[in-house]
Amino acid sequence: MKIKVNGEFVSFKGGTVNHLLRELKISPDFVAVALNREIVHRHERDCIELKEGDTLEFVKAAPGG
Amino acid sequence: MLNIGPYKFHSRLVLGTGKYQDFETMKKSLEASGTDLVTVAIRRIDLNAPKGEGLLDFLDPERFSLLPNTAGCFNVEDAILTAKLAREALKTNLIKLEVIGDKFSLWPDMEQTIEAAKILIQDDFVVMPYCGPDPVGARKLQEIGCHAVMPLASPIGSGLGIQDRETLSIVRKAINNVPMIVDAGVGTASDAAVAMELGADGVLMNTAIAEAKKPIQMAEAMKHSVIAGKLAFDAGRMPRKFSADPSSPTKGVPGS
Repeated sequence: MKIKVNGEFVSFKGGTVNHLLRELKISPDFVAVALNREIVHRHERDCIELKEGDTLEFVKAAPGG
Repeated sequence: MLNIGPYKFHSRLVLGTGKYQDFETMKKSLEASGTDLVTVAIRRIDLNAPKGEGLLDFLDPERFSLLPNTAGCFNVEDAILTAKLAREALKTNLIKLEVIGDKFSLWPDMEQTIEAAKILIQDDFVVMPYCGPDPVGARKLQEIGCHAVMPLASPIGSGLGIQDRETLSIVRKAINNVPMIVDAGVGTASDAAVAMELGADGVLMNTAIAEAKKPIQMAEAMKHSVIAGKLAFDAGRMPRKFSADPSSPTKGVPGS
């Protein structure tokens, strides 16, 4: 299925938010996740199954003032 | 001691982490400044390089509290989403709220800033809004429960210093319950000292240090200027006079 991650279309075989994090090799510690503009809390990452057309944001702290 | 909501900071200097030539210089500058509160932005992970050395590897959590910002947000919805992502990523409810209304000047949009602040306060954030040097807007931010107000001295990254001392002084008088932190526009140490002499409780800066020829040395200068400015403000300056008043006795001058 196709989903959108950080503005880019990504092919994903299906699964939870944590499956996608692992597939993209993103270390989960200091990452925040939004699914269709709603926050996915850490404890929800193993439960929420992604669907075709979902839009995700994976973000972290970056230099800034 | 700088008190913001339930948090206490030893330094009155808040430093950004942007624009440094490398993370090592940033780290040394932060340390030289004596700050214990540093701002960070929240940005998308690069999917092509998800690992690699990151900003947080250079920020000792024992030494620095993180103040995430909503920089780059031009509307309430994006600012709220960014604040919530920041809380989730960094496990802090502190937020430097920026809702910008003009790309050229990066001037804050007060109407949207107030609206976003109300929502975030309801959601238990400790909200530190970036605002214009506007006593009416600043008072509204205080009234709705913001934990600090952060008026600009001049546009972000401009280094133009304090453009309107009198107005900042009026903002100071309008705000009595929460700290006023002058945010943006400081170019050199004297600007920070003047901000403190006008009664600011703290100063937030980034570019003045990151783009100095010697950032670490400038960070140290800023540390001293904020301390000096606060001491001078508390000491109470002498009244201004428009004629000279000799410091030495006028009587007993030899040969007179």
